[in-house]
Amino acid sequence: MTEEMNPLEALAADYVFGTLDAAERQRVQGQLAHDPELARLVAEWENRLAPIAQATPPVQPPARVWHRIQESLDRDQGPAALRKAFWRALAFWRWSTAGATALAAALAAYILISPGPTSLPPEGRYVAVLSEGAASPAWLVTVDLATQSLTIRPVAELAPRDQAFELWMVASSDTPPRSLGLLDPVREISLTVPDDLTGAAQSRAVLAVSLEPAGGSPTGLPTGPVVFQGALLSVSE
Amino acid sequence: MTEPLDLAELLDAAARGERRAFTLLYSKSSAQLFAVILRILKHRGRAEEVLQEVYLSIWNNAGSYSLQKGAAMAWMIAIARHRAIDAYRQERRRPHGDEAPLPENLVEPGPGPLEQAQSREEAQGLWRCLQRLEAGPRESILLAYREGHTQDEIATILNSPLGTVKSWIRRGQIHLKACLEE
Repeated sequence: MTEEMNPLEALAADYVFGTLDAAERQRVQGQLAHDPELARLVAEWENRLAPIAQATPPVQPPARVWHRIQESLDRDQGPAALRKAFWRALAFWRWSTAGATALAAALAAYILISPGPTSLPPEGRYVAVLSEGAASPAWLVTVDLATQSLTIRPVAELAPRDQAFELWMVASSDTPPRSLGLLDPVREISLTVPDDLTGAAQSRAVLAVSLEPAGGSPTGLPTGPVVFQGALLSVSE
Repeated sequence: MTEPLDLAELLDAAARGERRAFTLLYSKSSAQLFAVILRILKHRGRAEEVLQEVYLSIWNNAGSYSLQKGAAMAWMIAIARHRAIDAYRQERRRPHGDEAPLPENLVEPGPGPLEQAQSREEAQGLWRCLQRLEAGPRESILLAYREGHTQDEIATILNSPLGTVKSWIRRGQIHLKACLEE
């Protein structure tokens, strides 16, 4: 057993044990967002030591704490907060796996090389694979900005629902998601990309599918959970 | 359904903005997190404020939890502990020895960890490893991790030189890691 720990591991351990001073703690907290190796080491120590915390006998907090939490959440239900909540729900870092990206890249390559009736240049053409989590591709999307058309086709059997699937384009976390229309769970359909979204419909714009009441969202913003999501990739990448 | 997976699923739902799942998550975890925070802050009013901040943070960051980070409860405990320690460090501008939480707000420490641990199967590994340490290193680790004390404060509490405490904690960390890998 060595008497030494490498510096990064020592920093992670000291952070988790609580022995760093306030300034050092702040530095580490800032570093965690950019340093996956440090984050991994910290997570390992948190898991190793958690049983100490879990041996502390639980203490019921007073009801007022929960009321205050709810009040904070209710206050944040304005349009800006709803947008943020939707953005949060996309949780891209979870679905942007090598698998989904590779699938979309393969699809892009297929479209590029497959003989087509037109000789559209690859510029302005995008594809996306919308999936649930890291696996289960459910929809294939192709976008052609020259004609402002988006086609979307289901590739998995979707359980019948009495709710509708609605497609949204999310340009950024500061702008509201924009509905592109309702989807057909069985057949490929074509939708129009509105003029003002052609700028947003660039590589890595996010498409998301939410579950809405039959007929679509009554509010113009997603009201139901995001069930599929994916990013647009340029066919020429 | 096993407990750890249950919390992970609730976090996942909370990440999508589902308030009911978040309510259930709170009911299953808040007593544990409150206890952890109280252990560090020792003052009920401040602990309640921190608990509120912690759950708002959990709500806002639920999407960043994934099973790759380990157990959902460990992830939440970490948020609670670190926020409590940060609050504790901000408060402790008084020289140590001068701590005097108001008697009516004082929280009595519960039964010792060894007594607690003997009845919890899943904690056998860590507690077995802690028991192998001598009293100095073990107490230093518990004072740091569980109570949030700085190494200076631990040196005072244990009446040992600061250098000794630092060495105890470093050796204790290395020992625990090796022991848990057995």
